[in-house]
Formats: sequence, C-alpha cells, structure tokens
Amino acid sequence: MSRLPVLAAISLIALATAASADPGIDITIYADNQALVQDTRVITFTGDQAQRVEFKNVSAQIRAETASLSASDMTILEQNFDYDLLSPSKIMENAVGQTITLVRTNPATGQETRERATVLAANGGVVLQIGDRIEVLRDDGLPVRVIFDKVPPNMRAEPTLSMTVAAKPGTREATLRYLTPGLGWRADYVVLYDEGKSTIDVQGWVTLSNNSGVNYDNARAVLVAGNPRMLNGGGGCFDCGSSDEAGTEAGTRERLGGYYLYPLPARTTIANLQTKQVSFLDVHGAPAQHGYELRFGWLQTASQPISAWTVYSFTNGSQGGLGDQLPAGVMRFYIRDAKGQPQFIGERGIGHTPMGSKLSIATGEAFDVKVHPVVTARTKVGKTRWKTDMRYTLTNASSKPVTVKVIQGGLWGDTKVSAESQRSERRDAESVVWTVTIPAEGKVELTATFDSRY
Amino acid sequence: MRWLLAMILSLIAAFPAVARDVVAGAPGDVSLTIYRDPYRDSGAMQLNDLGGFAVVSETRRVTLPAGRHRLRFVGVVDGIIPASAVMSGLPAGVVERNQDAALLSPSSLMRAARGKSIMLTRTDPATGKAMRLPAEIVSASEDGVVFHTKDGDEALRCSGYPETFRYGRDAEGLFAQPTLSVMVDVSRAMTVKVTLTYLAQGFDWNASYTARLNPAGTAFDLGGWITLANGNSVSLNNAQVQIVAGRLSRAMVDRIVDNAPAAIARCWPMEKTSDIPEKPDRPYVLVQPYLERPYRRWRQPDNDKGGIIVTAQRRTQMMQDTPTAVSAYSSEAIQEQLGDLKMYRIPRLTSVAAMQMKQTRLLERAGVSYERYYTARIYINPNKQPWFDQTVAMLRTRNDKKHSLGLPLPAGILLIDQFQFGRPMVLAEPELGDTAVDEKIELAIGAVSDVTVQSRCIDDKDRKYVMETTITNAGATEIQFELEIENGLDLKITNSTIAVIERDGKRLMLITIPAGGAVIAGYTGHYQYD
Repeated sequence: MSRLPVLAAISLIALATAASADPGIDITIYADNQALVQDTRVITFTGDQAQRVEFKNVSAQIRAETASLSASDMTILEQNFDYDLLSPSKIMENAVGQTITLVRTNPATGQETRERATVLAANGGVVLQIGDRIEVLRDDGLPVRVIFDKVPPNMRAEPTLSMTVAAKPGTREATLRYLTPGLGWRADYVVLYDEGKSTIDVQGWVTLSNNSGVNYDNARAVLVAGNPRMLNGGGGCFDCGSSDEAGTEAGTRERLGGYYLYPLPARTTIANLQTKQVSFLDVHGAPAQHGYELRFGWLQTASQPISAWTVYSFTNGSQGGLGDQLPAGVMRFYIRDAKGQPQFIGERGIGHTPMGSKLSIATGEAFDVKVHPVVTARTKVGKTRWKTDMRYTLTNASSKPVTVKVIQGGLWGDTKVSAESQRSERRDAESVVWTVTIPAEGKVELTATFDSRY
Repeated sequence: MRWLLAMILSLIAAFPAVARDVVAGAPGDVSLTIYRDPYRDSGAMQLNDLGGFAVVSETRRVTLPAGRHRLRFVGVVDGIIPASAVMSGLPAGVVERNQDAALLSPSSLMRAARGKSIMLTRTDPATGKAMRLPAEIVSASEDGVVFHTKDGDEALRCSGYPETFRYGRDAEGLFAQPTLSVMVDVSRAMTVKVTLTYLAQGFDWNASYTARLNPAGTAFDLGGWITLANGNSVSLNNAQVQIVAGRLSRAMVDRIVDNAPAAIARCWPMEKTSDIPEKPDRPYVLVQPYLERPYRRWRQPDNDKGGIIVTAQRRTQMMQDTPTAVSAYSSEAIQEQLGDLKMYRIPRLTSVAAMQMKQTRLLERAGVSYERYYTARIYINPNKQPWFDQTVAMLRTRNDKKHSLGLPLPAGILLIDQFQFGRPMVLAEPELGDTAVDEKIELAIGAVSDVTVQSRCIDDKDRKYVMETTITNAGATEIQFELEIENGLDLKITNSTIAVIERDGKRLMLITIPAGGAVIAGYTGHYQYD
C-alpha cells in the first residue's frame, strides 16, 4: 500500500516534464513486477470534434484503467479498451446477414469464378445463400475462397487502447501513461571468495525482464528499489535472514522518497521476452569472514548428525565493505578450485539492504562439519518444572580447525541454562549461542542443561 | 489497417547507429561442473525432470570491429539462468547484457510479421503454378490467421487451396536457440578470448554404490559410481567434467517463458452435412496390463527420435559369474576440497551429450570390514496380550582407514549383494547420506523372520508399566542384538534386567543371543508426565 503515494509522486513529475520530453518511452520499473510506462508520441490532431486516437504497441498486459493521455490543447472525451479479438470464426460470425465474395477455381481448367453470397448462419458449419439457392460452405470438399469486404471496425488483432479526443488542430507531442505488470527487475550478485586472503570480489548487476508482450524501443528506464519482495530463500534453511544488523549509512545514490533509484545509463530497447542486465557494482578485495552456523529450533534429538551451514559474513558499509546499498536479489558465491577456476558454491536471496548493514549469507551445508544434538535426559524437578540435558556432538573431518556457532532456539518462557560445558551467550529471549572451536579431524562434546517450565 | 498508421505517427528519436551483430566463435575449453538436486535425497534421479544444475564455463574467440556491436553467444545450454552469466576477457565498454527467449518458430515468425507486408503464395492444384500476391497479416493468434489482400480480408488455409506466406528477411530478434548477447562499444578493432560462465538447469548426478559381501560375512568390496545426466538439448563436447557433493542453498528465480499461445491457422466451424457428431467418450478406461519400463517414460521428443539413450551400463563385472575382484586398473575421479564442499574431477576430457546419462568410477575399496547386528524398536504399551515387533538386520561400519575406508562418501544408493547359488543375489538397497570421514555408517539390510521380538506388559500401575520382552534366534549362529526402547522423552526406564545404555540418542539394551536360543529382558517404563 505504501507504493501508492510514490506512484502519485512520479505521476506529478511525469506531468510536469512531459511537454519538454523527447518522443520516446520512459519506464519506471518496480521490483514487484510492476512498471509505469510513459510513452510520448507525436500526434497529428485534425481538429475534429471527436477524433479517435488509437495506440498500438502498448503493453499487452496494460492495466487499461490506469491509462491517461495528456497533450496541450486537448480534451479527452472517451477512452476505450477493445478486446474483441479478430479471428476467422469471429469474422464469419460477424458476417452473418452480410454479403461475402466466393472465389472458386475449376480444378480441371484453372478457370476462376466469382460469386456474391449472403451468410445465413455460422453454427457448426457455414450456410450460405447464393442468389436463390442455399449451400453449405465447402460441403463438397472442393476449395472455395471466402473474401470478406472489410474487417468489422471494433475487432482488433490484439486488445487495443483508443481515445476519443477534441483538440486544436496541429502536430504535437502527447504522452500516454499507464501501469503494467510483466516488467520487473532484481539484482544479481556474483561473489568470488578468496580463501587465502579472506576477501570477496563482488559484481552487481541489475536484471530487468520484460514479459509484457511488447518491445519498448529506445526507452529510458529507471529502476526503483523499494517494494520489498523477498525471494524465496530455498528450503531447509534455518536463520535465513541475510542482514544481521541493518545499516545506517546514507550513501550518494539518488533517492525517491525512501527508495533508491537505479537509472539505466543509456536509451535502450527492452525487447519482449528479454532479460537485460546492466552493471551497477564492482568491488574488489572487500574483507569477508567464513564461518559455520547451525540452529536448532527446539530441544531435539536428531537421528543423524546434521551438517552445519557455511556462512560468509561481510558488510556493505563504506568502511571495509561493499560501500553501496544492495537492492533485493540473488547472491551467487564462487570459490576457486585447485586449478584456479571459479566454481559455484551456493546462492541466497537477499532483501533490499541499506548501506552499512552486516550480512551473513549461508551458502550451503558443510560436508565435513556436523553437529549431532541429543536429548540425554528429561527429568521432572517440580510440579511444573523440567530439566532437559542436551549433548551436542560436533565433528570436523577437515584438516583445519573450525569454529561453529551452535544456536539453540525454542527457549520460550523463563527457560534458562542451568549448567553448560562452555559459556553461552544469550542472544535473545528465545535462543542461546555457543561459539565452539573443533580441532582438525576432531570432535567436541558440548553439554547443557535447560531448566524450563512445562 | 493502413488507416491506423495514418492516424498515429509514431516517431522514433534518433537512435545510436544501429548495432551490428557479431557472433562469437565456437566454444572451446569447456568445463562442466554438475551439482545434485539440493532437494532430492539419495534416491534416484528423474531423467525427465532433472532437478540439479550445472555451471558451464567455456572460452570463445571474438573478433570485434570498432564501434558498437551486439556480441552474440550462440549455442549456450538451453537451461541457462541468464542472470547468472559471468563474462571475463571482454574489453571495457560493455553497455548491457541481454538474453532473448523469443525463439524462431512458425508461430513467432507469423506474429512478428503482423502488420507488415509479406507475400502470399497460393498454388493452383490443377496446374501446379504458384501465384504470389502481396498481403498483410491482420491478425495471427491461436484462433486463426486473417490476412488482407487487394481483394479483401481472408482467413489463412480455410479455402482448401494450398497457401502460405513468404516472409522478408526480418526475423529480427528471433533466434533458433536461447541466445545470450552483450552490447559492447569498442574504440578499435580487436580479437579477444572471452570466458563465459553460467548456471544452467536440467542436470543432475548421483552416487551409486555396490557392496559385495564376502562369504565369511565380515567384509565387503565397495564400488562407487558417479551417474550424471544432461537433460538439455545441447551437447558439451570434450569437456572437463567435475561434480560437486554436498548440499548447496539455491534461490528461486523466475524464468521468462514464452507463454503466448502459438498462432495457428484455424478456421471458422466447417461442419458439413456428411459430418457425424462425435460419440461421447468411452465410459471406461482400459487397464494397462503392466507398467511401462521406466526408461520409456523419459521425455520423448515430439518426433520420437533422439530421446535419452542409455549408453553406459553398470560395471559388467556385476554380471559376471565370479565373485567380484577389484581390478588393478583404476580411473577413479580425483577428489578435491571446494570450500566446504567436495569436488570430483573426472580425470580425462569427456563429452556430455544432450539427453545423455553417463557413468564413471567414483571409488573402489576392497575388504571393508563390517559387523552385522539385529535391531528392533519396542514401544511401551499397556496391552496385556503379547505382541511382536519387527526385527531388522543391520550392517555397521565406520568411514575410517581401519575399516579400509576413510574418504568422503557422497549420498547415494548402496546395492548390497552376496554371491551365492552361482549368482550375485541382492540383499538390500539402502540409502547412504553424505558421509564425512570418520562417520559411522549404519544401514538396514532388511526385515528378518529368524529373529523374533515379543513383548508383553505384565503389570501397570500409576503409569508404571512392567514389561517383558523375549528375543528368540532361530538361526545357526550367535547374533548381536540391539533392543531400542521407544524414546518418549518423559519415559524413565527402571529395574531393567539388562543394562540400558544411551548411544546417539537411542536407548539400547545390547544383547548376545546364542544360536537357537532366547533371551528375556525385563524392565519397567515410567511416564513422568501427570
């Protein structure tokens, strides 16, 4: 709902600038598959009391009720959206009671004969009256061409927007404005992690896609990062939140209200069924940390050890970070293999992230680092109180020591940790965190006792 | 329709000099890294719907004249996720990148020609003479095609005459295959090598293992295969192939699909006096006597040729009449660490053809020692009548050097067999999860009837259940039995005649049962909840 005032704001700007705009298309694309198209064309007004102006090449998904036309010395009398589509059967149905031309060719001689016929009915088959006889069209199976004198004027090859206007005669610019779905964008990030240096190189692309059914030639596009549409982060993920701590840096990017603007650098053609990408971010050597994390939602026994998540953490602040806002999109992580070739290691959707935020991106499960949670005992200690003994067996099959954040969630009410083999940190009312280091090819047992109310 | 054009004067502002198309050379140095379907467990791949993906990397030679060009990469894998493409080696001056999903087809050609002047070709069936006259397509949709000539408006192919259109060379923007392109602006002519890397859907791989138990029942020979599949219609030739084990997180992305209905030359209703109305459908369906073979269910192309053909086979040794001997020749995939994942490199260049499944060696280990044991899970139950629980034979080993293993084992299906009766006989086909070094492996072989478990509640009072479980062994050898007591968290076990231990979160009684013998375990289960 918060989008509406913004659209209104854009509309005002559009009205104010339409007069001086070059002919062409200005498109404002929002992240949630919605765009505002402002199409400036040169129209010759005839000065008629009611001139019909028809618009071809508008989005096939146009929200016709949002369309409006503006030009100087012009009043709109009526606005129509015709969607009776032209097809052979529609023409034939429309021709009932009217006259058509039949052309027959003699199969032996090639001699052509023409006849006029009246269409009596088009139910299942076509029944014709030719002079004083009645025939079923092509009942004998011989070829007959049917020629219609004209296509009914209200029928269109595609849904068509038209306006009836009264205007001062002359040739001048008019601007058509409408909203349409089918145009959308998001960001795509390529992140290359350097294991040796613990740094990341990040390329950011805005990816714009057009599925609206029409080509926009010579368009000026502005992308608005605003409508938080979270991409599905994929299944099986605990603690998907991409941003650990929201940023507070303003940056220099142009804003519209609370939203960031990403204008495309040049006029471009946005073709139908096209995905277009323009680079907006290229950062080298930003520091990043590699770690492990695993969260348990309740005090549980797992039948198998569970792989920890591989997590890469970094900031998008100006100090030691990416130094830009990150519009919502997908981050794809790569790492170089033994031959130096980048290999993909996982991806994750992120939301619109203000500058200066801390991000932790879980790219996948670690093959060699696992945690096996086991409830070893549950004892009743009072009328409403229980003690739950947990054992977490952490294993590391890799040749380097690793540090895992084990997060135990589900601590509702006044649940507290009454004993533990290692100090935990109470992150929030609901969860505690242990940061555990496992030696190379080693095993660590972490135990804790939770005191909870039943 | 011309009157429309007359009414609207669509003005296109001066566009930068029309970009010329430059086609990048054929791909070389192809590298293919295949990832498993992250949402599939160790079960089989669905060849007609491969849920995994791959990273394709290839190098192409590009010769660019000076100026602004659209550089096209033809023949990328059709499952490409265009937004994931990474290009390196291009000179500065990349204006934008595009991927066009509008494909050249009879229907898209007709739609693109809408409103344009084309040629109608009509062949006289008597003389065979083709007649051409200028026409304009008025509408082309799923409901038919209407065109306009100097005579008036007609519907395509409703006359009974052979007729079609001839198009000008303006299939602009339509490509035979999904095409990736970049708009580049270069100041001088140059030849560069561009490396293109992208993610593509429609691949998958699987590990499959065979374990041949030795006659003594103490060890098995383990063979592992990598089965990979390409469900795309593009072949990757002479490629360096890698597979990656471990579960990656994936983000859902929308993919543009051309869902506009195809333009079809349909006519108005053409019923004749001789037409017989269709009979209603048969009120019953014939039952197929047997299921189709799974291979037959793989995606069959429309023209019924070039479908998926299995050219690889399981190791032929499996079919031989002698017990497996581990061959000295090895072409195992080379394993390396990739971040926190495991990567396997196929040691030679290979071609992964379109719609192909391929198998290669993953590992071979002889004499993996194991122990066999039996287990049953019992539940506390106030039923005074005796009841039986199912007994399962299990196989246990550890992924370490001591057991002749000690290497990462990617998830897959393990086929356990034994050579007996002059042939290999399958015992079980359990699933193995991703197993790191030093992890324990416990696999169910199957239910057995020689070992029975019978339980009975002798007495219950105040949610305290006095239980008695009898385990019998009808086999000719002594067995190790692990009785697992239902793990209700509020259940306390007391007064047990055999010690109850906790292992991996399970409450167990470890019992040795002699050949032809029986053991009785007594215990009391006490629920703590009120």
